[in-house]
Amino acid sequence: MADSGIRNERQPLDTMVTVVSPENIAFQFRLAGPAARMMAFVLDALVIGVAAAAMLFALGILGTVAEAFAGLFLIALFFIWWGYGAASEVLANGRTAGKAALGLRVVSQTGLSINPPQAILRNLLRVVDIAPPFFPGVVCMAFTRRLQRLGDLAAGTMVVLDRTRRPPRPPRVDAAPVELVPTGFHPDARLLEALAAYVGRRTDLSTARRQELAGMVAKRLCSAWGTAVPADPDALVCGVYERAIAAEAEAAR
Amino acid sequence: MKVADIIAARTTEWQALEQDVAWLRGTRSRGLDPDRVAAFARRYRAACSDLALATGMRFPDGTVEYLQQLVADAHTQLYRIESFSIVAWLRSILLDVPRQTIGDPCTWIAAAVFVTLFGGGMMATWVRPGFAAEVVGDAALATFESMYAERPGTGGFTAGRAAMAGFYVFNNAGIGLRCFTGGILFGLGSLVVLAFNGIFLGTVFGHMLASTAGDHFGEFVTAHAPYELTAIVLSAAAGLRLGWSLVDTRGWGRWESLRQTAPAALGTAGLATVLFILAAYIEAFISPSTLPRSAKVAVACVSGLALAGWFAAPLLLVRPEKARAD
Repeated sequence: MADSGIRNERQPLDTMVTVVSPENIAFQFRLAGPAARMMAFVLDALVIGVAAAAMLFALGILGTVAEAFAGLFLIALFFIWWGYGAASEVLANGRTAGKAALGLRVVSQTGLSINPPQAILRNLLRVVDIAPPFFPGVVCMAFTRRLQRLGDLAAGTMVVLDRTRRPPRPPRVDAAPVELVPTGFHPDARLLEALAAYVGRRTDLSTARRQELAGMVAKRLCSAWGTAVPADPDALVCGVYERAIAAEAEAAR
Repeated sequence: MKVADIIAARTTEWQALEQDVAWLRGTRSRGLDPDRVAAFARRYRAACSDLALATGMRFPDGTVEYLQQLVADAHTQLYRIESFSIVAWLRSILLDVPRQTIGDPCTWIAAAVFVTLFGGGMMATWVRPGFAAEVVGDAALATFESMYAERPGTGGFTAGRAAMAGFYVFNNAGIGLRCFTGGILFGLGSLVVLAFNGIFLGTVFGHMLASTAGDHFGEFVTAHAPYELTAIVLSAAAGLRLGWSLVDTRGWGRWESLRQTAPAALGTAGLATVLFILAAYIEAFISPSTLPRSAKVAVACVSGLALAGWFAAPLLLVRPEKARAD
């Protein structure tokens, strides 16, 4: 399942990873690059540093009994240093504080949330990944399709971007003049894709800009059909899109 | 049916699914409202088919992207892994880890390398008088000799034992984990740390045992030696296991082979860490104490037997027909 083999033709070969669920539906994750992950790591190191400083400060206040507590401090430091990443990734849905701040999340290559062994392994192996002078983790990220460092490869995990989620606004198409579109006309896949992109975003555009953009398409369509360009090319383009979708829905049925 | 109508009709369900995901994120799997879980599963499947529809019918990009994210989030919650059970955990600790560790050639290779270099270092100090100074350095040797000039417990070691325990945990267990992780570089990192420790410790042991402080040194190291030395070997063995999986891939892809091997190696490394921590406490509280020498030897014997028993347990406890074939 890790390598689905199903590639979405519409997506360029970049930082998207496709995962196929048991429902046989393919969905995509956007991978996080080295820069964002480095920032997250620095933030996490700061968190650890602040925690350690706070403990040291507490020891300083305790003063006289400090020697015995110094042992506890070192033990705590050991567990925080080696365990902070793993613990927070298990408990907080694949996010450490640094990752949460940068909108990153660790998931399994299969798209599932990570389990404790995976979290422990990838966090232990970080010491190798950030070892100078070669920084094997960074080198490794450059050579793997999922931008994985050694720890990710061993644990079978990847770091993805949590995109901000906005409920989609339905494309508002009022009274699209479907009758202007010749019945035999079917846009090809590329045109349909462009139409979908346009219809999805047209509400973000000013009326003049809409007419200008739609006008370019409408002019070519109308000259191909041998009809006059209508007064509202925006509506015509929406009509073409609605007609095409209806035809596809019909075909699917 | 128009795209806008479809989206408008489904948006309520999608938002309900979003709320379900947010709700499930904050919970464990026990004691959930079954009706709501069933509703969540139904909404997830509906969202899956909506996504298929949206992709197939070229819905606007924003909708497709939104559904992708929604389905991914719901998928993570529906198939989340919460298989933690005490029985499985005990089974892993008592049966799987010792069996894997014992049955792994890497364990025996690491042990052989360590014993050979340790013994070699020890011999070399006796055969060649200047050897210890060359390997360890004069200043370090002098420090060691002055540290053990007196019997443990009669001075020097009484204060700050808790601090020392912390230091031993932080330092030794940390080195053990680094030794393990270095193994991912085709086992080389682990071998280097293992070889260094073998030669260094062998040389120090050889030199100290032959010196005037020999008795005191021997008494100090006895109690924690079984756990500490085993832990060093096991850390390196786990690292070698990891590195060797990149060399002998058993028909898997190289990274897949690493993934398959990693959990077993992690078990051994975890065991080594536990042993390092036990050794740290013995080293801090028992080794430098005023307890009679025989008591320290007894501690060493008990820890050695406990270790041996734990390794032998899977062989003794599990009847052959119950042993799983994996």
